[in-house]
This record gives sequence, C-alpha cells and structure tokens, in this order.
Amino acid sequence: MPTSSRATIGVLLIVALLGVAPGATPQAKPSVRIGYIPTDSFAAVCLLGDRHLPAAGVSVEMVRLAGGPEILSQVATGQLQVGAAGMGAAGFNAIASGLPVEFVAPQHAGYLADYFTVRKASWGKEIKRIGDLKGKAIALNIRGAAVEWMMEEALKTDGLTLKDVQVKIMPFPDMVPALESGAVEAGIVSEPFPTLAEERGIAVRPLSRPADAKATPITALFWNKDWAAKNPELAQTVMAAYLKSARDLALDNGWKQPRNIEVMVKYTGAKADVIQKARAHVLDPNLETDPAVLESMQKLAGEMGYLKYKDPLPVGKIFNFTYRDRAVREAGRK
Amino acid sequence: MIPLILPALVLGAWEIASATGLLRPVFFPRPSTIATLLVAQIADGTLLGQLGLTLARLAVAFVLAAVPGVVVGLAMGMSRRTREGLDPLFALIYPIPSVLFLPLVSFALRAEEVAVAVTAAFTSFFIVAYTTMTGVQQLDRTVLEAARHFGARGPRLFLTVLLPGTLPAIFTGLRLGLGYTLIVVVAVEMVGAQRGLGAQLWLSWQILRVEEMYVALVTVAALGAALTWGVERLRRRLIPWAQDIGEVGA
Amino acid sequence: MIGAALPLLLVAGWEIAARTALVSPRYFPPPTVIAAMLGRLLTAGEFWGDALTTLARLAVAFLVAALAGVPLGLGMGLWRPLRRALEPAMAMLYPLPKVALLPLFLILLGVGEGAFVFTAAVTAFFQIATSTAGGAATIDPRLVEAGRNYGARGIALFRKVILPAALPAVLTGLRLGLGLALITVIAVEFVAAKSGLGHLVFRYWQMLLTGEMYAAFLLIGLMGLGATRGLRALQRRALAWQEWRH
Repeated sequence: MPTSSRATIGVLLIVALLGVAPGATPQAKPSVRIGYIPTDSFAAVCLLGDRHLPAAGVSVEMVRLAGGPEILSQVATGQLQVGAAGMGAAGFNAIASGLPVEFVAPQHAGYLADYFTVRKASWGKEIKRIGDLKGKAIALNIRGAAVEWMMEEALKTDGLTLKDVQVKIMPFPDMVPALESGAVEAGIVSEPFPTLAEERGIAVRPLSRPADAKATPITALFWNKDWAAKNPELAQTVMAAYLKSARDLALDNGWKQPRNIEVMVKYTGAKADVIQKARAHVLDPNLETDPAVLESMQKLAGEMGYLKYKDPLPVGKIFNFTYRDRAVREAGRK
Repeated sequence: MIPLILPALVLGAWEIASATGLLRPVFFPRPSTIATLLVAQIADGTLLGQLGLTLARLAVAFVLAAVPGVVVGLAMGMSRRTREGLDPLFALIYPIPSVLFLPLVSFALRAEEVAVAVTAAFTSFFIVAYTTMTGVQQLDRTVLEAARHFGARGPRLFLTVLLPGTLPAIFTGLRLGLGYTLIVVVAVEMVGAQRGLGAQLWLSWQILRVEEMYVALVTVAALGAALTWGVERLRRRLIPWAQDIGEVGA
Repeated sequence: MIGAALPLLLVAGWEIAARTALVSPRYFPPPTVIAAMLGRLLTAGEFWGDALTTLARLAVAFLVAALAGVPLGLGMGLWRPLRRALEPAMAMLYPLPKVALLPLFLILLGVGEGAFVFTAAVTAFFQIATSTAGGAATIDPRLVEAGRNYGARGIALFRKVILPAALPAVLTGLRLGLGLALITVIAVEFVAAKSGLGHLVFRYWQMLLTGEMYAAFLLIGLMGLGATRGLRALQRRALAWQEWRH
C-alpha cells in the first residue's frame, strides 16, 4: 500500500478514536450531558443547555437523539444526566420497571386547537365536524403519548373514540404530504408543520380555543435519580437554570423573541421565519402542570394496552416536584 | 452439533448477565423471558399474523428485485457496454437509503403496500445484479472457449454453459438479495407501517415494552435464517455439482 | 454508448414529468432544479464540512468491516468446520436491520462516533464476509488440483491460486459492503447525529425542502459512485487476466 494512503488511513483512525475515547482529564467544572430531540418544542431544554446552565458555571454537552425512548434509556443508564421526552407509556413503563428516572418539571404543553389539523379539501365537505371522522384515517406521530390522549379527548367531544378511526403513525414532516394526498383526513400535528401546511393551502385548523381551555402537557423534563441524589446541589442548579429558561419563553412573548428563536434554529435547523409565523407552544412560568391530566393519560395508556403493569402509578412516583418547588420559592413566583 | 455451540454460549452468557444485573434486564431481558413471551405470542396467534404480513411484503419485494436483478446482472456480465453504461447510474442510486423516500414514493404511488414493496426492492435489486454479474465474470474462460470450439453459439452457449456456470453465483446473489430485502422490508415497516414485524419492533420500543421488541427481533432473525437455509437446500438440489472446496491443507 | 442512454432517458423523463406536473414538483422537483441547488450549496461551502464528516465515518467503518470480513469470509469459505460453526449465527444476524439495533447499540456504546461507526461497520461486515465466503467456497476445484500438481502448498497455494480465484467475489463483496456502509452511515446520521450528510438530509426533511434534500442525496450518490469507482479501478488492475473481451 503506498505510503500516502497509509498515512491517510492513520489520520482517519486517529480522528475516529478521538471521537470514541472517553473524556480523559477530570473536569474542574461540574458537567452535565443533556439529551434532546431537534424540534422547537424542546426550546426550554435547549435554552437550558445553551444559555442558563453554562452561565451558572456548568459545562454542558447537548446530545441529539432520535426519540423519547432513546433519551429515556440513555438517562436511565447514566450516559446522560438530563433529558426530556413526551409524557407517555414509555415514561410510565420506565418508572414501573424501576429505572432510576424521575420526571421533574413540564417542558411544553399545547392546545388542541393548535394541533388538530384537517385536510382543507375535506373540511366543510365530507368532514364538517369531528364526528365525521368516523372510519377515516388520522395521523399521530406516536402511540401511547400525549398526542394520542389529545386525539381521544377531541373525538370524545363528538361521541367517538380512537377505536372508531384509523390511526396512522408517521413523523410530523410526513403528515404534510399525507394530508395533501389524502392519505389521512386529519391529524394531531406539531408546529411548524400545521403552519407550513396552512401556508401551502393543504390544511386548516378549524377548532377555536375556548376561553377556559387548558393546555395539555406534552413533554416533560427528567433526570437520572441516582445522579440527582448524589449531586443534589448540581441538580438544584440545573432546576434553577431550567426555571430561568422556562421564564425566557413563557414571559414577554418569549417564544417569538429573536434571541430565543436563534437558539431554536441552532438546535433544530428550522428556519427562523417559519418559527416566527408558527403558533407558540405553551409553558407555565412557574413550571406548573396538572396531575389530573397525567392520571388520565396513564389510564388511557392502560386501556390501550401499552403499559407493562396493571395498577396505576401515583403521580408522586412519576414526578418529583421538590426541586421545582424550591427553585420557584427561591426565585419568587411570576 | 457445531452450529449450536456459538449461539448456545452467547445465550447462556446473556442469561447470566441479565439475571445478575450485569446487563440491565430492562433493556436486555433474559433470553428465557423473551422465549416465554415468544411462545405466548405464537399461541395466541398475534405473532403469526404479523409474520404473515411481513412475509407477504417480502415475497412481492423479492420478486420485484430478483427477476430484473438476475436479468440485468447477466446482461452486465456479458456485455461490457451495458456494464459501463449502467454502472454509474447504479452506483449513484445504491448508497441512498431508500427508506427515506417512502413518504414521497407513497405520495406518487398512492397505494401504500405498493410503495412499501417498491422501496424494499430497490437495494436488493442492485445486490442481485452485481453478484450475478460477478458470477458471469468469474466463469472459467477455458470452459467457454472449449464450448465455442465445439460449435456452441448464442442461445445454446447461454443455456448449456453460461447459465449453469453462473448459477452458483446467482444463488449467492439471490440469497444475499433475499436477506437484504427482509432487512429493508422490516426497516420500511418500522418507518411507515401499522402492522408487521417491523411495526411491532418499532412500536414496542416506543412504549418501552422491550421484551416484545426482542420477540419481533428474534422472529426476524429466525425468518432470515430459515430463508437462507431454504435457498441453500434449493441450491443443493438444483446445482449439486457446485461442491464446496473442502479443506485446504498445508 | 448504449448504456449511457438509459440514465439520460430516466432523467429526461423525470424532468418532463415534474415540469408538466405529472408528478408533484413539490415532492419530485425537476432534476435541473436539483442540480442547480447542489451547485449552489457546494459553492456556498455548506456541504463540505458535513461531507467530510460522513466520509471519515464511512472510511473507518468500511476499513473495520473489510479487515474483519475478508479474512473471516475466506476462512469460512475454505474451511468447512468454521463455516458450519458460524453460518447459522451469521444467517440469523444478517437479516436484522442494523438501524433497528441502533437503540441497543446506543445503550451499550453510548451516543457518539463509536456507535455510529460500529453500526455501519457491522452491516458492511456481514455483506463482505458472506460474499467472500461464497466466492471462496465456489472456487473451481480443478484449479486447486492443478496448483497442487505443480507443487504449491499452504501459503503458496493460498497466494497463487486461492486468493486470485476468489478475488472477484471478494471485490464484489467489498463494493457492496462499501455501499451498505454508506447507507448505514447516512441512516444513522439521519436519526441521531448532529453532523454529516445524513443529518443535513434530516434538516431539509424537517423543513420540507425537498429540492435541497434531493441535492444532498445526489451528493451522497456521487460520493458512493466515487468510492465504488475507486474500488473498481483496483479490481480491474487486480483481475487483468479476467477481462471479458467481446
């Protein structure tokens, strides 16, 4: 083999090994590895890792993963310390299996009116009301999670259940061509895709938000229980920084502020103007979330046969709000 | 007995590691647990339903890949012009993960099952074609020249010398192609299907019912092994003269 | 140039179909648009960093797969006991979509280059080993006998007779393995990486920028074409005596 290619291979091997080798020197600074999914609903976690946690003197590595189960499993095995994912069967099963994971705060919530998307070609014609969805194909991005619960609640308002519709699972981007081609009539679609679909004249969001509507909690922040127990101060620092991140978004129209959108663009690759046009996600500035909804979601997951266990877990076993409560106490309520 | 040693060792080690917690049983459940669930799912019929669906898609996709694959492979092996013309196109398309095309192919083809089959057939077609082509190229030229000397030409040469000579390679190609078609069918089911082994695999992982994911994995592996074994038996019956070379001693 | 006609026909067909809206140009943009986009993105420098990252991952994965797969394949093809011991395991592991195993690899290896490269290497490894074993097992026994008659034994027999006879199959296996390694690297980048062409494809997919997405595919295809062409040049030099003359 000629020398030049031997050298090239050598260089490549070294580059690869450097990537693989574990961090050699122990850090003086505390460090945290955070798992995220590249979607703007994860803005709070992105701000945590990009802005407030480094500002608190913690070094952060943001790790991109494909989905909730991957993040849950990485946090459970301690390869990541912190992560976020959809509230759903995966989280419930993980905790019931005894994995050292605890949910500690909500990450984002949403209103059905912002998610429920219908084919423009059908709305007002074959589909005039939710009840007309009987037997039709509707899109969800995942089973056993909040979006399924949202769909069930929407169907219940007009006397239907999930068993009355044809559920098709597909990632959010695929829902746009699916709505366009008629492969599905409706779906629970997360921003920016409903906005994209509306702009292209493919779909509409026909529901309006009632005055007393409550946003459904969709994703939540969690971390490794053992890590938190061994590093309670670091965990509290993380929570305090997370509270700041949440307030960056929740207050003063934060979801639309350029400096926040910049961070979202950095981690999701979405375009700034698209995020600007899309409807904002929801997050409570005091990180409050409704436990009754969580119990209802667990119940639905059980009915659909997703859970590995029979008796519902009490919310106290799923969520540990002590860090959140202390952070809010120390920062003051907003 | 030999073929069983390695898998038995691995499974034994895994069982112990999982039982003692060396491997987290949540993510790596004990093989005995998986086996129990497997039996239960066979007994209540759910697994066979999923298996049947995947098999059906596999059959369609494989035929779509194999028939053109062998034909094109033979053509490329026999004619340099064909080879040099098609090769750039093939080499360009081959490395693209066809799974990503699925939503767009579904849009163009409307019928979901057709889209699944077409997407799954793609890469396997190239594998069959290339392996067949190599088989032609690997033919012993002295045999061909001898046949020509004896007056064999055109179709006769093809049927009596070329085809039999290439059959071993074609079978290797079909075996690999079948295996790879299974991979892509399962991968496509993971991405875009509601039922089938791939769909079960994916869904179970999404809700962290890991034992069920392993049941699907084991079934896919068993299916692949069964198919390989089946093709090998077929090969032995159709072209028994292609012997293994056996030991090569010092 | 009969062979060149087919690709040109296909491209022309697509161009016409997209421009006349026979297929939706939103999801199947005309090839001319795609090519223009690729040119733009290349000159804007956006692709280079990601392309290099993908290439590096591919190179390491392929090397590992080849270094493990060829010797093992030769061993399996030539020595029956080894083949019988390993074949069932290989047959069972081959049909598993390695992307399905990615979550498990991530648990075992953690997120990072190791898992990405490993997944691609494993996929290519099975291909290379199986092709090589097939080639080694179907060597014409008369060649070996002839070699033995001329006094070749052991290593000399291996180098002068077995290896050259198996070479076409080995190289085909390597070529297919390279393609598979590239597919797997792209797929893994699409799913879990923050860099690389596969990740770029993911971003465009998320933004539903199909034109840019196809441009990225085109670049991936060109990369694959270049790599396999390199292997073919090697094959041609190594198999000079096997050229099929028409």
